[in-house]
Amino acid sequence: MDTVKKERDEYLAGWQRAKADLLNYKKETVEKTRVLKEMIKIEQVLECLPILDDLEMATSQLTAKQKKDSVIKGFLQISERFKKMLKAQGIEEVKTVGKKFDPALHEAIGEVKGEKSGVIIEEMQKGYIRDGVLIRAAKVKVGK
Amino acid sequence: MPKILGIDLGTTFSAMSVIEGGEAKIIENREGGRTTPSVAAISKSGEILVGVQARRQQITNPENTISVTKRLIGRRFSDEEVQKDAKLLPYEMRESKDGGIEIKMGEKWLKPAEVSAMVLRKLKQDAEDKLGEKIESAIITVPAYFDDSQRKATKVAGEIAGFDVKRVINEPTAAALAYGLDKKEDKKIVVYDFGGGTFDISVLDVSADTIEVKSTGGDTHLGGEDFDHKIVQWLIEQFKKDEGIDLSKDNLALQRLKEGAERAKVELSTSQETEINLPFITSTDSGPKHLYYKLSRASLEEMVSEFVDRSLEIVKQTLSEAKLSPSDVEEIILVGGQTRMPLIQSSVKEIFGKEANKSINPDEVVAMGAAIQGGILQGDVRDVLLLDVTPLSLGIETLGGVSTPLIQKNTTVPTSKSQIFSTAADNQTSVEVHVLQGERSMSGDNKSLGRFILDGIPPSPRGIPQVEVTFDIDASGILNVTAKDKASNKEQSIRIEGSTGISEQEVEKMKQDAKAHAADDKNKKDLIEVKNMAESLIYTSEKAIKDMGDKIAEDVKKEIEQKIEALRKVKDSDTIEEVKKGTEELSQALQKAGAAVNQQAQKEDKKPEDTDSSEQK
Repeated sequence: MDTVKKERDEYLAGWQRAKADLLNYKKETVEKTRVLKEMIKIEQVLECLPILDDLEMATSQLTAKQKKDSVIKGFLQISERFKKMLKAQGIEEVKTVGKKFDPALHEAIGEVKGEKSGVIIEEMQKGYIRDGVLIRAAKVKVGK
Repeated sequence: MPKILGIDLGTTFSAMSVIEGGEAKIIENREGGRTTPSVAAISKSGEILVGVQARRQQITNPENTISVTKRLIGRRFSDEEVQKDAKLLPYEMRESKDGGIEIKMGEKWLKPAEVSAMVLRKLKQDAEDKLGEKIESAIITVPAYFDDSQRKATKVAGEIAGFDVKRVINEPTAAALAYGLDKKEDKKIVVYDFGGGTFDISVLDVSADTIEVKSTGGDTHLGGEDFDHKIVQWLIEQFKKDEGIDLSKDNLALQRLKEGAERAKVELSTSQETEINLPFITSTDSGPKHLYYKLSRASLEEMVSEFVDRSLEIVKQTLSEAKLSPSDVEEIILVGGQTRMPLIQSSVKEIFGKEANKSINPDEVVAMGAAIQGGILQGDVRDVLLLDVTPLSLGIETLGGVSTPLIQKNTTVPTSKSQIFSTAADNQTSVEVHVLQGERSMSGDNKSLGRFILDGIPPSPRGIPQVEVTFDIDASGILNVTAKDKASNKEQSIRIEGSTGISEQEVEKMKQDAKAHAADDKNKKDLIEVKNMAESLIYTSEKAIKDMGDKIAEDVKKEIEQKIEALRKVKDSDTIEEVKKGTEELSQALQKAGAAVNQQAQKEDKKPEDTDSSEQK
């Protein structure tokens, strides 16, 4: 009789546990799906960023005269659309030049001698942040 | 029960894992990475930085950014390897009083174990944050060739980080655990570990209760980074040849080349050719310069063949030291990101004459194995509920002999699923429920488990009655199928015993059959679906003509009738395309008629509206 009782208790406990596990799992799944959606979004943005980097790089090479060319103006507008798209997703650029170097946001790829130590002198590649979470660190040169 | 963290403390990267729901799972760090750089630094303001943040500031603070401590931990300062590394490392080292090593970090001199402890502490904190509970214990992995002193120092590092280090286990052993190979008695296993910075090979011998390391070999300065470096060098040379510009002096260009090279390497693991496209790589007086090169898998393989060959030489040497021939080895495990390279996989296969285990992410397999070791130490929780699964899908036959599954194969039982079906003809008063088992698309190809008839359905047009069919399997595999007409509440059921009790061979055969016929079955099923759709459209069209005949113009009506006739003729041919075309045409004709009727209706609607508004006035 005792064995049977013990078994019964064990089974009941197991059952309750299984049911609780399922309910908890369901709750977790909702949260996980949300996080996953966010992750996929950010992954996709990350895939696109190198293209924007190239556009930025191209823009930085333009002379004032070239910038007045109507075809180039069109290209610059495309670049702007890209940035707008990021902004609409809540993605912002990481602030760099003149700020104190912060490894939580910036990645140092070089130093500039004779400048103010620990302060960002030049931005080499833009960084991006969303809701306070870093998507990609900005590549910068730091004063030494 | 408190969780035990499994930690792969690597030379360049570390990873961590815990057991959750009986399975090892990688835990991401605070930054969201599945691996964490094994780097610690003390910033100029005295802050301790670990992982990716330490790496980001390395260039501005090289003398206080400590990496690759795994090459130093537990060693003597006078060791030949240490002396060699000391020349290459940017931070300062000295001999401690006991002959060990001390590293200068900020103002302090620390032992390598203390620096490793910083990495481990970050892992601990990040894991606790992620899991929302305290983590007290850990299993840490070390290379199989680590001696007692190196193991002890690794354990100390864990303890400094606040862990109760339950075990320090070998990396190859952990990999074998992750693949569940610890149960294969008296087997020889080779673990081929090609990481970012080091190459290790180990021969394991699995016996009843131990996994013994028979022999090890490797090169502590051979890794995936050498491959990247080779590609970068090639790009620099090409660019110099084509443009006369040396990119190696340009920091940003070099950084972009490194990223481009790594991306190309990764892409070439899955495709035959890739491109390295870096516009505006540099600029000269004559304007900006762009870099664009194509790299094929074959050229990459040629470029790095020296590294692969070196690793294979070491494999052969290690095997001969263990007095084994490749054919004595039963299992091979690939570890480390570089083993994703097809050339490495095929070379290893060539040596051993069999496929290696590579299904688990090679960057994570060691940490997962460590977590599994933790699970073994804790002892498995006794599971009183052993749940079975249905080996094959269960369903019913629907219009045109199609098998429609309600319960998919591999569903854990007990379970219950229901779906609503309807009738195929007007005034149909009974439906036959034919219960089927199997993976094939057509009911005739599946196993029939039984059939019954539900009658007494009130006469109504096709598609209107709602018959709910419920499949319920209990824990012992007994299947109850119930059909219920929602309108009349009439129901009928069948009980089928042993629906899961088919022999394993039979299940296997049915699964193989399904696989072999998959394409064929899909065609058949598609054809029937298209036919069903055609039939349903013919029915709708005829009904429309009957219902709205007076509202449809004569020529439109005629067109529809012609199209119906045409579709009826091709419907029973076996060419999907023709039936689809006929259906499409009839559908268009019908839409035309519908639009005309709608317009008319709107016109009629408008009139009373006008009178409405005048009334209001």
